[in-house]
Amino acid sequence: MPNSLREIERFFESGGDNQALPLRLSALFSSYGYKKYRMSRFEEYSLYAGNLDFLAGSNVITFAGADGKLLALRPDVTLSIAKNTKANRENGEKLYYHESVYRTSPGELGYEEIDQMGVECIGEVDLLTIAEQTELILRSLRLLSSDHALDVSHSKLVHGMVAQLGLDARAKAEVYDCIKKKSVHAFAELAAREGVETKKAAKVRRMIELSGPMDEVLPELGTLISGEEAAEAFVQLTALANEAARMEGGDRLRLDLSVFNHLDYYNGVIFNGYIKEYPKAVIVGGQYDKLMEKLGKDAQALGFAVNLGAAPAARRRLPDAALIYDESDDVYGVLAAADKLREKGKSVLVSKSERVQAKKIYLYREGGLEEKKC
Amino acid sequence: MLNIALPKGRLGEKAYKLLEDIGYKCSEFDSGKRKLVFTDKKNGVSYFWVKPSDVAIYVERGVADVGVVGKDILLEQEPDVYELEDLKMGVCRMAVAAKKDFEDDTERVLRVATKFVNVARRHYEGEGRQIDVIKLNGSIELAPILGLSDVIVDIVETGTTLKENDLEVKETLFPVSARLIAGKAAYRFKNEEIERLLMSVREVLNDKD
Repeated sequence: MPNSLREIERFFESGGDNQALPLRLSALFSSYGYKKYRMSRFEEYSLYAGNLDFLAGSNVITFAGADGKLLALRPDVTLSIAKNTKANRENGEKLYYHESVYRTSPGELGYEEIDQMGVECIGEVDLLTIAEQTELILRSLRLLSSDHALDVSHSKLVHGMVAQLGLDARAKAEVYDCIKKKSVHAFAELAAREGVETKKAAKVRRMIELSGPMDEVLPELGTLISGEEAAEAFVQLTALANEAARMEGGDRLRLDLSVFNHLDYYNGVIFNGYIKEYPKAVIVGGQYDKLMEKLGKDAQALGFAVNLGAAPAARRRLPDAALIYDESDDVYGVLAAADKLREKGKSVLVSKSERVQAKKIYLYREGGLEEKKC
Repeated sequence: MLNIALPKGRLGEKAYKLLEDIGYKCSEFDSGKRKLVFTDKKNGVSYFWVKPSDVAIYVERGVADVGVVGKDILLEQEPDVYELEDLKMGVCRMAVAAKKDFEDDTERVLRVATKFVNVARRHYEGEGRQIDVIKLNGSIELAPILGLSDVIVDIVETGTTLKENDLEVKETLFPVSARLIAGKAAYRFKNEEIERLLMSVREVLNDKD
């Protein structure tokens, strides 16, 4: 069993089985000082009813508790942690969890149980906190797949740029939809219909198109920025890009503004992590100070969640050795011989049948092992 | 290799023609055949010939990298994909239609026959109107004629079918045309290939304009 973080990563890169993924993520999060957080399976529905937008359109499954209170199967973990935390700006806490969340999508019957792990850093969020979580996400992605990408965006940048267009709430919502879908054509129609100034429209249009490695895309994004809010966000993204450039795998960081979350809750960086083997984001996260504020907490917060169900099926790994015995063999002698191999770091399958698959097959001979030539 | 999902039928053939013209020819492609997958290794492209309403599912689930699908289906299914371009083909509109002499009684629940259940629900919810949605899978125009529904919500191209059945458009909901869509992970991992295709498509569309 690997111990150090480096060993854990190497183990997984060499094809460790994905049933062990939660263990490895736990080890990773613990190595950054995150403390495991456990919670009850159900929450009172009122928590979600007041924050439905945070759940991004997912329906909540409810039922009546023994005392008649309306309870819900948890559709999200962050809300529960944010509600229950006693952390504040002076006394922060770093937590991780491994829980099931239950979701339905609009128009779909039934529900989906999602096996989720995640971290929440509550207290003060500065550049170091953001850089550390970026590193943590990159490492988590590496455990999921060698082919991965981490897209970063910033709520304030998107919000600030859209605010510059001077549109009403309905039209703004349409612009956000265009950004999310990367629909330049729909934005062009909207800008023409709403009489948006050509120069401003051209900037947002290009912003929608931008997508690529940080070092390639950020310089151009800098030329498009206008307004204080967007400029402040751009400075933060640039600082993060500079730090990420020094991280292992930092070249996987991309900028794509289609990645953003509800502005009533998220106010800073937004993360979406992808792996080649899964069609949607496997990691989502970001800074959600506004949710903390809504819940009456004096703290900033940053976190992300990993969808464990998205992990690619592990490659089937053969045991290093199979040890074949027969009924006449000394039982303890066989067990001891297998253990000797294990001490050398080998995985050993003991079997009476010779029709087993292993990298090497040994026959037990009193006093030793004889390798069977295939 | 770029995997492209195309809708079976006239729209798919038109879309293939456009892609063929910009360098994504598939030598073995023949829409008349019963074969469903066509690959051209030389041009680095593989086409899946699927039911129009399934295109977005193939793309959303990452089996196809990009696809061509009508805006009507996108609004009905709301798949989690990028809608990269309006291909300006397969142009029609989503409309509410009814018998010419239909008079809406707003005190009654409106019976709406449609294939587009979500589109219809959203539209009438926006108007605060209670409706009884009748999901049909074809020959929607028959519903008001036989008294199954008061109105229909359906796509209308020329309006000839409506006219021949003594129906008329009462309200247009939104214009419909074919869109080029891309999967979210595919957009990251095959970004250069998808962008190259998108740029070529845009050049053709701009030339047409």
